[in-house]
Amino acid sequence: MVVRTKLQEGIFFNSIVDNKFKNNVVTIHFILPLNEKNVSANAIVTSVFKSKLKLAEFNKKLKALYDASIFVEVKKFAGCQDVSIGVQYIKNRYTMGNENIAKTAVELLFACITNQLTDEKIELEGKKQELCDSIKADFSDKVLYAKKRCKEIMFESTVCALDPKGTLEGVNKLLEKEVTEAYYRILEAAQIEIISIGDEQCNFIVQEVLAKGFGKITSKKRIQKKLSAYDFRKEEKYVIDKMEVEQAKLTIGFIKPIDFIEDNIAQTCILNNIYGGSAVSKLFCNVREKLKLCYYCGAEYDNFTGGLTVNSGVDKQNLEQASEAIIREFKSMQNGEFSEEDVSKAKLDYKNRLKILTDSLDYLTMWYETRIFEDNPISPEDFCNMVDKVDKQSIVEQARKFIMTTKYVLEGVN
Amino acid sequence: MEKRIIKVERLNENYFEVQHRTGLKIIVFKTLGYSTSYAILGVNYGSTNNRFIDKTGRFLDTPLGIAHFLEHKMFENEDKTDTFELFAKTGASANAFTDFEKTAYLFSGAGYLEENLKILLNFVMHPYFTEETVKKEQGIIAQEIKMYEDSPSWQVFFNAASAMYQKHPIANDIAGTVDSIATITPELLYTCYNNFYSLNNMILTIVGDFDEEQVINLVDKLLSDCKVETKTASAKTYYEIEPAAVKTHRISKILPVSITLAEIGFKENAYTLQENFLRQFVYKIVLDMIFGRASKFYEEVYKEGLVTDSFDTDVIWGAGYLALLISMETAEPDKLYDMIIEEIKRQREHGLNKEDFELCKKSLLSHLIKTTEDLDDFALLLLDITRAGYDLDFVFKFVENISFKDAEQLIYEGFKQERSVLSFVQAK
Repeated sequence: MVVRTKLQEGIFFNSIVDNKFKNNVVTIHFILPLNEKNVSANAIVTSVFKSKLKLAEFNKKLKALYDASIFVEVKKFAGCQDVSIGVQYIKNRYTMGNENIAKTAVELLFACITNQLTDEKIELEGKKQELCDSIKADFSDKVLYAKKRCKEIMFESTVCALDPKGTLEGVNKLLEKEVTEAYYRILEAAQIEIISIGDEQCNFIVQEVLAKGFGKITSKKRIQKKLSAYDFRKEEKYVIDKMEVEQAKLTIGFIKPIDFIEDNIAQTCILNNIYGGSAVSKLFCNVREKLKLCYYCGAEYDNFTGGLTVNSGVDKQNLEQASEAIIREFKSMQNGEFSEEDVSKAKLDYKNRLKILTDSLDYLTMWYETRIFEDNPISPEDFCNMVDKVDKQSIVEQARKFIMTTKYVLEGVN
Repeated sequence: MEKRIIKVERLNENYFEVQHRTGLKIIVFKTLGYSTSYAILGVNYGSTNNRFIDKTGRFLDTPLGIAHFLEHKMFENEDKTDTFELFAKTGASANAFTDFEKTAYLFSGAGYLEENLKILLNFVMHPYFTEETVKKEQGIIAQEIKMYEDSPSWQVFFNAASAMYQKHPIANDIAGTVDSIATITPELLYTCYNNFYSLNNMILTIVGDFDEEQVINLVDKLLSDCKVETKTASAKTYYEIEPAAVKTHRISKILPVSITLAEIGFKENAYTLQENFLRQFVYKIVLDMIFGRASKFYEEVYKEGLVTDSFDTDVIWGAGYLALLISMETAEPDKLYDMIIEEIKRQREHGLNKEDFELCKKSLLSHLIKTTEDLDDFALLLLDITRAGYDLDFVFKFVENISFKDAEQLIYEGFKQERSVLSFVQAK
């Protein structure tokens, strides 16, 4: 259960008590509208936050706290950019002398955020290089790259196509003034969601430290997070990129119009599961096992955009056959060509995954991040109850709302 | 059945280690408050066991990648049922993987522990291979191999391994090659299965919030139901003598990447699996002291923008091999290689710092505690500890007792430049 407290206008503390883990985790999310103008400048603030993590002395302090780890990330949820920083630290009872480390760990985290308030100069070139390296690194993994490219094409002409890390060109053009502005925009004007998962006493300490810390920061009127509906392209588009790859990567995108946020999330998740979300799904059984076209072929659904993507790696000469099979299997979902037993199995599988999720601190953190973004902080257990109510007809209804809009292929030069 | 209760003082928790009469070793750890149970059945048979003396004394040289191929094929059953379908009826998520020295079959499920364990033991104990299904799998695994050929991180690692090792099979890709798997037949799979898949060559680890005694009795009952005969010892893997020297010092590959990936490896003196298992911890502390996040070296190369924050260190170990790896994204792999060699020289000259040693040891202990938090990582840790012949309490105590002198000794004995390699993947 999430206990949500407003620390001040636009700053919320979300406490989730879970005693079984050996670590606690705190993440602070700075949420701003995603737009082309500010995306690179906002993203580079992650490098500003990371400044202290380059210093041996600072890292020694973290090590002394039983290797507490501080991490930063920038991602997007539909039209929002989420710049986040977090800390994970061991619970007091596992320290050698039952030391109280929650307070110090969160203070170190806060020191990373407020770092620039005390430093006169931003080492801009180093930070630009760091962010550019991170953008470039995403290009190396071709499976992920193909997915990313397909989404860019699917969502083209909307902010959902933007990379939350920005672009190489955008980063390289940044001036110190713009970075400083972005830093203060994030600190003073972003909506802030703090998520603390741990034992009750630690969550209380974290809340106290952060309430005090943010209390000292000048706040402008914070921009309230807003989810929007997007008008994505409905016509089919086929894009081929060529590169020196051994295996072609095929990604197919389907779109379902949604208003702000998916209202039928449980139904669509079960649809995705039957279609391509498990080892007994239509894609796995037919495209991989029967047609032997690939090693991986799976589907993913994003409930912020209504986009469903299928990712696969196949030999170039089999691209057409694989593509036809993937689309055919989706049509079979729209035609209701699956059994009640398939629905029961998918529901059982999905509920099992939700329970696995509650056993992992990392997954649980991701779960609550997403739910808090949706303004629907339900627990995985609550979601299980929603899954129980899904029936075949409602799955078919959701399947029929999708249209195939994008086919992206990354294939070898020869 | 011989039952041993192991008290893990560091965690203030107990667990069971059972030696079953069939030869199977069973590890049962209760994790209070968790919703799911996680079980992993590990077979001491991986990609490096491809050459062996079988039970009749015959030497066999089997195709590269056969252990991994066998793992894929175990999911098909003689009665035409599909193992994933069977698990789907309980909702459990099942999977398997093969590494250098083991094949592991696993599931994670909420409830239905008896049903899931029954499916797991049944499918692993009952092989069924035909020409047709082997042929089908050759196509699927060929695609898996091609996927890895496009993976820079996979390529940089295996190139480093193949540069370091001249004879040891760790130099080969776990999945083999498209050509090697094309020679696999049902007969060969049965031969390998019969030589390695004996219960006394396996360990079953189960973690979750349950009554441990009930789970032990349940496995005992299921093993009787499986009607599996206790088999004799498995085949003996044949390893050629590995020379001390590396094969080549520098290896590179061209792939479409926008930032160069590099791994610098040090081939260390290798001992038995048991010895290497423990030595890895001392090496991990030393690597962390010299190249970890709190080191002066990391501060220097990260601040100067020579590496990204993906800079990391690791130790790979097993029977007959132990190597240190420093991995990074960098535009200047040769420069980083030189800097790393220089830093090791400097550390030898000035000596390691005792305060850093204590911090890094504390950090390793925390890392071990953290591993016990995630059921999948924890079950795997218990499996590896048991494979090496130890228990979790012993491991915690071993790490706590690592001395500064142990660390100092390694910096002089190991990290030899003449046994180092630089592997990198860069764009054309």
